[in-house]
Amino acid sequence: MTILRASKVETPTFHTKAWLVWVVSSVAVVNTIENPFVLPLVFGSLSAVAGSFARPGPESRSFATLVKIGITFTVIRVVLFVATGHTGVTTLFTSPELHLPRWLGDLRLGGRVTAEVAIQSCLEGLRLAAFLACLGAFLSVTDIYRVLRLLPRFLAEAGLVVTIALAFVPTMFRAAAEVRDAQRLRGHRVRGLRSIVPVAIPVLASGLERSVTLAESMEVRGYGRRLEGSARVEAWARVAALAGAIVIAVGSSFLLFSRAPLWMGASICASGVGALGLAFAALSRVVPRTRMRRERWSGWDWMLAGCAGMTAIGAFAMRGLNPAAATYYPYPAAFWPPFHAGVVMIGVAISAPAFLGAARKGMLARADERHPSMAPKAPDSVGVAR
Amino acid sequence: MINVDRLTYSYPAADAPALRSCSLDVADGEFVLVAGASGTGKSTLLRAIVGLVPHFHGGRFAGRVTVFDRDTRHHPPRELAELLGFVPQDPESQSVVDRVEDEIVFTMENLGVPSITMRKRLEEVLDALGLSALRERSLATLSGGERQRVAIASVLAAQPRCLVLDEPTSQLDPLSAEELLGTLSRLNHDLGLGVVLAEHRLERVVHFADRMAVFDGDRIPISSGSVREVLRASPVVPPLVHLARKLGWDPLPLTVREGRELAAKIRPRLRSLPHVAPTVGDPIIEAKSVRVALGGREILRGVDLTVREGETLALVGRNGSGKSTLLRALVGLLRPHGGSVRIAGRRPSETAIEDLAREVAYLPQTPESILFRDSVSQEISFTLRGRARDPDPNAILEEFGLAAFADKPPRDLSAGERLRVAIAAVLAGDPRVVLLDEPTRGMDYGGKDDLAQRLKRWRGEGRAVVIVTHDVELVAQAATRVALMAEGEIVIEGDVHEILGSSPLFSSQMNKVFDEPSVLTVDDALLALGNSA
Repeated sequence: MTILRASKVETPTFHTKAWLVWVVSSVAVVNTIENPFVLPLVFGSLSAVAGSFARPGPESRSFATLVKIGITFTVIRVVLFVATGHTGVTTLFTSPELHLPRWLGDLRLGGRVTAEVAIQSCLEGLRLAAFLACLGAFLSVTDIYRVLRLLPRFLAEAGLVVTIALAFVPTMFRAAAEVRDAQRLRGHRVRGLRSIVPVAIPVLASGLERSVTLAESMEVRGYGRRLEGSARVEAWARVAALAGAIVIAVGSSFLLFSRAPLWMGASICASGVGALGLAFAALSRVVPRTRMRRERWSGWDWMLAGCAGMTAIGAFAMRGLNPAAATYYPYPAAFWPPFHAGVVMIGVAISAPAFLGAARKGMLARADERHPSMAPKAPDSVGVAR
Repeated sequence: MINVDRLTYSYPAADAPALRSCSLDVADGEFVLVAGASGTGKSTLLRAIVGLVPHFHGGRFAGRVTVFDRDTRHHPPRELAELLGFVPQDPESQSVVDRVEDEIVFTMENLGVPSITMRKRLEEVLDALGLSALRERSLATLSGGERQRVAIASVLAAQPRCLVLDEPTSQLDPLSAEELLGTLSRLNHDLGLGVVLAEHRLERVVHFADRMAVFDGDRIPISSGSVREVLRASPVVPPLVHLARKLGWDPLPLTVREGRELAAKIRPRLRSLPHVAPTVGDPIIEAKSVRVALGGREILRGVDLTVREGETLALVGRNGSGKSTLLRALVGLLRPHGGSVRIAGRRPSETAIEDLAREVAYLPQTPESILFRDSVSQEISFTLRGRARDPDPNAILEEFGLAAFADKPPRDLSAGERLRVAIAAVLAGDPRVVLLDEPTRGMDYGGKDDLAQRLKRWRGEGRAVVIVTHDVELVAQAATRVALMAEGEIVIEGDVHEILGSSPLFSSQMNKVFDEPSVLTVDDALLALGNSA
């Protein structure tokens, strides 16, 4: 398989868990380093990663889509904040002012536009956009179903339902487009409110039908099976889980609000956690599900996880040791953010998967050149086995 | 070991039972074929076997169904999953996850098959169904036939004792259908895997089955017994058996080989039929080096096609060869990135689809997607209004034999009936060009004959028809020309007799039996034998 991949020389991807470590570390960077210099680096690194590991299929567009959503959100946010906020000392310009009456919130729209409000709202918007971009890059490069496999057994079924629900949205859009086309081909102009019915009814009806057939299909293929005689175990486990949750709530309120000694709250909490853990373990045991594991954890995955871990640690260290370089707050007066080499390094480190992937691809390609005879012939066209 | 004992079942809120006192026994490792006209209860019977009836649908259920001694009233379908593998009619709606490999292991994961075994079985079924090249692909990018193979692979991987399949070949090209049925038969023989299969295109399956159960119109399986016995009186029969019954052959031939042996005696009487060239008019569809790319892959690689008024062109070719894409490009649903299309005197690239629709009718592959009204007659009126015609549906209902369904909601009809409604709905209002994508999927022989007659009539009226189909018998009955597509190109194109007559695989049963290019259908054969009965 590896050789086959090499002969096609596409960038080999990483283990899902390694990707998970990477995305968590990237999100940590976005959350801890507020220095504006990090933002362009983060966006650049993420797009390099999303670009070099793009998979065929609609998920590969998640990065672009989420970045667009983030940018749109930022623009809206800046406009709203600039129109309503007036703190700060650097006036950029003054626009005509509109004072809303009290029943509309007593707001002052327009007027003095300050650089501080503009900068702060823009940075906050971009930080959220960067967070969305991390998510988008993760969704572009990983297979969501593989991520689900990492869930514990008793959660796997719920997780599957969530992915199906998510997959439903694009399906509905596709169905709507199809139906609209078909109705237009029966001579109907799809325009305005009256045309909603001809499109919406078949889409909804087929959506409902599809969910029923899907549920049927899952049912006949054994979804939701329990081990024989496990109904009682499951019922008790659920009761225990509920009890555990209540105990944890009681314990933490002891810890937070009462004057009882610390050990008392802590031990109540601990027993709650214990009950919950036992319940989850029991629940996992009555579900006979297994998972197919195809992925192998290789040295490259260690490297990616290591790089990502170091990046996150670096970001935290920077925030702790050198808060002046890691944070930025434009009030009361806007100033040029401090430049720090560490910030640049952390921003660039997010692109580690792209570099590692390129290195690995290069090695595979060289191996391929050295032993061309080892590379199997390209598989025949999509044919039927005889 | 499946035992259906005097099962009577009505869907909730239905006036008449879908199954009435129906009994069927399937021995361990048997291959049983379930046949019957559309809407007679084949699907309901299969659903009752796997337990979806009554567990999923509710309704009134009398009688007993046991599967390996488990009563389906007490065991929900998921508890039968390791015994029965069910492939429903519509493979598109059965897929749960998005990738081929994940979809195939889904059942095994639910059943708790150990990871290593799972891996081994995955490789086995990928090979058995010829899917290894598609293993990493997303299901959304596969063609209908490929998805059907994935659906079968996914139940097969769980190694059930018996497979229950509802029209598994309805979307497959003749060769893939043959391969699939061959695979099923091999599994049946080698592993003792039981098979219960519902099918309309009997010519594909009768010779594989050990036994056959046929529903007649009254929703009672008239008989289940050896295939030859049942076919003697069955209301639905493949063309060869139809001919044999007309000519009084005994025993009934099931395969082309048996047919040829019996036909050898009367072969000298057979004279070839004069070739009647259809009267054709001006070109009404002209496509010149059309290229279409979807999702980064080039699906059509320069297709040239001309269809004249009064012609019926059948577009055939293996699954995924670009037939449906070509049809969509012709009506302007897809923009070609090269080449040009003219249809009914207009260019789709410069015309609004709504205006094109006055002259062009298009039936998509999923006919359900166009039906949305509360009743069949409203569906017809909708199109008539859209084409600016008198919205009175009665003439059309009469013409298409749908008067009995006029007030029924289209979505409550069976798959075959719905298809007929959809065809009537897109054809109302006299379009000059008719494009049909798989118009016989799940349709019984009666419906097919009906459609073939209608296609001939339209031809006489000077309309141009393009059908995308895998159904050789329909092509033999109705087409005047055939274009074979492969890898996004038209490989060969010509007169129907020429193409079907020269192809060993893609030809009709009658053509194979008599080996005479002018004889494609049973009617042809009877005519050529001077036997007009």
